[in-house]
Amino acid sequence: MLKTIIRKELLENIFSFRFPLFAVLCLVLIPLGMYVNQAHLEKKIRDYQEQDRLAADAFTKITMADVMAGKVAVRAFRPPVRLSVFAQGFESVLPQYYEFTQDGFTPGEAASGDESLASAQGKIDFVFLVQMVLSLIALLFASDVIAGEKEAGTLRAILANNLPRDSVLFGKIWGGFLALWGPFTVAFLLGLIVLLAVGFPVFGGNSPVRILTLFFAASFFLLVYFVIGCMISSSFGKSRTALVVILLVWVSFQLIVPKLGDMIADLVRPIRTETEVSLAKSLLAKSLDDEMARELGRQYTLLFPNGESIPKKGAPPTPEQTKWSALEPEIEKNARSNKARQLGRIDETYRQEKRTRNSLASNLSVLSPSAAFGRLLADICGTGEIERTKYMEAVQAYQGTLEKAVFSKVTKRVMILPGGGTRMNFATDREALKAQPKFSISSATPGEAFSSNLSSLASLLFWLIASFAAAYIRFRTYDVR
Amino acid sequence: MSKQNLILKADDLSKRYEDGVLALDHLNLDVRAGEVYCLLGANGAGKTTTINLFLNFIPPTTGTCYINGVDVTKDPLEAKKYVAFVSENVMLYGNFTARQNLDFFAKLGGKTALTKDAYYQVMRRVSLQEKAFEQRVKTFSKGMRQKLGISIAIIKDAPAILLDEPTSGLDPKAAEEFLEILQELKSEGKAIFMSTHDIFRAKEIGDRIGIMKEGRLVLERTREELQFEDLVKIYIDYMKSEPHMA
Amino acid sequence: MIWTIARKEIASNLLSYKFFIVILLTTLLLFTSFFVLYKDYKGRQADYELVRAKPGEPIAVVPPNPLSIFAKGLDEAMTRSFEISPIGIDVRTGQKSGNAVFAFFPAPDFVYVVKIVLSLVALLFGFDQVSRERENGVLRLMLSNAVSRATVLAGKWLGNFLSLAVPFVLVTLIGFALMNLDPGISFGPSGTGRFLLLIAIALVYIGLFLSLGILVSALTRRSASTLVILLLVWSLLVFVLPNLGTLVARQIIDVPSVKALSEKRTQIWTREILLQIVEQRAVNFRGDGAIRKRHLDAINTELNALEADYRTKFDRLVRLSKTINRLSPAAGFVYAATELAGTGIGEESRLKSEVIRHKDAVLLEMDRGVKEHPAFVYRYRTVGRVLAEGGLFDLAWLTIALILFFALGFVAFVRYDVR
Repeated sequence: MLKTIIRKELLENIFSFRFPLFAVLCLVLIPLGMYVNQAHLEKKIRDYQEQDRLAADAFTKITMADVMAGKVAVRAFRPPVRLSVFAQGFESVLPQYYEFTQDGFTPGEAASGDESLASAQGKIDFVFLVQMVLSLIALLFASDVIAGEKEAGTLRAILANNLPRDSVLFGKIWGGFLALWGPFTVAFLLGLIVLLAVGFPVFGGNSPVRILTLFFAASFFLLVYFVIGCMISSSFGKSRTALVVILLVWVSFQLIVPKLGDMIADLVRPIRTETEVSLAKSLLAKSLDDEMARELGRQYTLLFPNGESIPKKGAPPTPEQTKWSALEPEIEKNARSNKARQLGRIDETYRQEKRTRNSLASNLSVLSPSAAFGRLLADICGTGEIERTKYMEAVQAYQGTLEKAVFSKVTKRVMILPGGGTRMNFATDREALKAQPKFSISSATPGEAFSSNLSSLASLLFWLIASFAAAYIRFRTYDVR
Repeated sequence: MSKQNLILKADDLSKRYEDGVLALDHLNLDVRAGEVYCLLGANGAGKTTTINLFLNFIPPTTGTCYINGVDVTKDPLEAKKYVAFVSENVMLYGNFTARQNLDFFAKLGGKTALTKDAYYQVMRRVSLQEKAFEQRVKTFSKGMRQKLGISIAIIKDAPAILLDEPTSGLDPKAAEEFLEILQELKSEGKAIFMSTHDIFRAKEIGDRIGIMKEGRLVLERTREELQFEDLVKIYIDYMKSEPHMA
Repeated sequence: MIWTIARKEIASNLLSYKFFIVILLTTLLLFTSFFVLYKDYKGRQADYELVRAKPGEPIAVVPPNPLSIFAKGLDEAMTRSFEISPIGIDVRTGQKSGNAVFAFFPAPDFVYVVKIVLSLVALLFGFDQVSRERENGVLRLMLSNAVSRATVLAGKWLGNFLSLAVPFVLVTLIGFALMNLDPGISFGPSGTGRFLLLIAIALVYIGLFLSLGILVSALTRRSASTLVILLLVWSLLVFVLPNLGTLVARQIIDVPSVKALSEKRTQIWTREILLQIVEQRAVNFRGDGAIRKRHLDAINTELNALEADYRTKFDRLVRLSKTINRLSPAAGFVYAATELAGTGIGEESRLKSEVIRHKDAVLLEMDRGVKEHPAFVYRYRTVGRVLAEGGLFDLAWLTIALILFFALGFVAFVRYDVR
């Protein structure tokens, strides 16, 4: 009996005028979006490889003199993520590279110039299509699932037969969803074929698992929206009313709820901008450096009132000189660790602030199934919040690597003498610089993506179950008259 | 008169709506196999409420309906096996053809193994034009939809058929054809229960006729009794009379 | 007579729950938008105070544009700092909003809200004008009087337009007035004028979608199917077409990547420096300055040619994609609104060329040994020039589309079978 209703629901959809419209829309947009993003990605990968090579070249040309002069800036580029073809996420927002100097790192430009054109209009990737366009279509398909039949009176005719209402509801939901899911699946497969044809490694590495996860997540998301639509449809007697309400719900899920979360987070936990923080950091670093230089100068003048510290050739070092060669690195080490601690504290506080604010914003925004879906998929594709964190971690680790490989090869000491003069001396490690250490970001596994998106998953599940339950109750108690 | 023959039975049926309106007031009626029962009454007299109660679309306030001996309130799904329903304005799936509509409702009625020919046969029987069989229903006239509606009832082959104002809005020829079909069904032994305002057709086809007013069955006559009475006059008299006099 | 019908439309709108919900939603959305972007602007303004050029620094950076609260456009790209060095222009991150959500969901500025939500709302007001009134028979009743169908349609349009436009304009003006209370933001008379023009364009855009709604309503019999068709058309016009144009244009015109450019720049530099050294060796490093100057000049001319070539290609790409995108009124609206606010693509490319001109001046001074450089000042185009350079075209196109849809709607309505 369930099968009969599912079949009828499917057929009714297929024969309706909106079905071919929807199917064509799907079949054109999804593969097209994939194709275009792939072409764009190819360009970005070529750019990345070239830039990476140039950066590595520049690295081997660094001389000790440059290091001494403090002019070395090493650039490390972030490789484009393959699966960004499906979900752009933060891809065009994250800095393309970071620049590393002795004093720390600064982010480079986010996106190349001609992307400004696209950012004027927005992006069109798989996630966007599913999240914005297909969700709306799912709601449209659902709008008259129940209200439409109430209006036409066919629901009366169905319920005059001996079948339980729950199987009517189940059959209608499944049948309607299948009519939606069919063209979507075909379009997705077509998109994958297009991607294969233009050389995207669909079957390479860990792509198949992720693509499959992507597909199921998208199907699940459509189901959630479809059931929400059915719930609204079963609550109203006229499909026109249901449609109006559906549109309002859609607008709030797409535009209001995700923003509201951000707004509230901004009000409750305002944070400083990155520029402010990095400025504060560099000011602090400078004052600490000055402090160290002054301390060195003070100690030096105490030991050598006449200003003689370098042992004469051949002569044994004086006791003061021995003492100084032990004292100097000690002061320096202390000062350095103090600086590292203080800067680290600023970083840590800022990161903490940011984490609290962002998790508040994201937890509030995932109340909207669309936001939940967007976040989850971006993380699965490696262009989401996890990637951003991992990028930052990788950058910090890389600063350490460079410190060891390059910056620590030169010790530059400045001292400010109490009398007012300054003294500088350099010591270098005479070792030539080898190849640039590899900069890489570890990518998140789907498992990680899921475990850090539990709230998103919970939100999707909540909407599915709650709206199904509501639809079920409304339909059970529906007055057939 | 064995109990077996009693297909539809309303036993002390009352319905008071949430807004306090008493739509049905202790109604008792029954329809036997091979009998046509016509329920007459003005708008709001309680005819449609009676049908809604038989179909368990609304729960009764007191009393019970039985279809083929099954208590509708207690086991609605079992009861609905024995009843087919044709609504006033048969609304069907406009994008489906006549045959597809028939197929869907036949399956809902439990007839899952029917062939195309069986459907065609039924549609021929209700004298729907051949060319309409595979046409989308949204192009149908009201008479054609009504014919399709009755063929849905026929194909379910249930012992009882409930019709809610089946002839309203039909032209005289279509209405005549419709009554012929009902006559045939009656002779096959179906219990037919229809609500209508159409006194003349009721008199023509009804074996028994009930007149309702303000939720009460105020009069019931058999065909034999009516041969000596003027139904029209009785009806109008009842409609005119004050409620407390009824 | 038109006014009678319009009044009836307004009255029936005011009584309907749909109107109430829609206006509530729009108000909520507009205030959310104003608030979020106001905060964003303040953040960027604070950042600007930190990164702005100290006197004499060869850095070109533009303060954030207050109108970006309403039309964010490319303001974030425009307010990056451009550091001028002999090898060219180094783009640094400027004032970052740091708002992570904008990456997932586009900045919800006034333009975006109008483009997406108000167009949808206008469709909601338009879709049931004809088909629904036929369904419930009111249309027959109305037309049984001595009114022409033109009057009926015009009255309907006017009534619905007013009941949508009046609350919308009120809410927007209140938001604008509230923002003016902050002494940190000054729009000035020019900014206020631009803002009023922005509202005018938004009204044309809304009217256009209202006409579209009525047109489709007059073409269909059932109001539910009207809405479904309209939504499909809407998602095409608002989401899909504006993206496709850019994509198609990119397939047709190949713009060299930024990286390829910087590579070429380095090549030119290396070549000229080597040549310079060879020449200097030849004359035993006598007459140093002249040779250096000649080569530096050569470098500059070539770099400029490179830049100019890139810009022509990029301009062609922009023009082509704009032309294709304009098929969708949503894209036309976004172009007109952002250009007017001074955050559009045209303004951005003009800023870039200004920065290049500034660079040339600075390089010339560096050559002369001047250490202090004049600060970079950017003047936004005047409204007149914005209109002349495409703004007027967009506005005209939106108006024509509005009239066209209305006219088509009228034709369909005249032939409408009111039974």
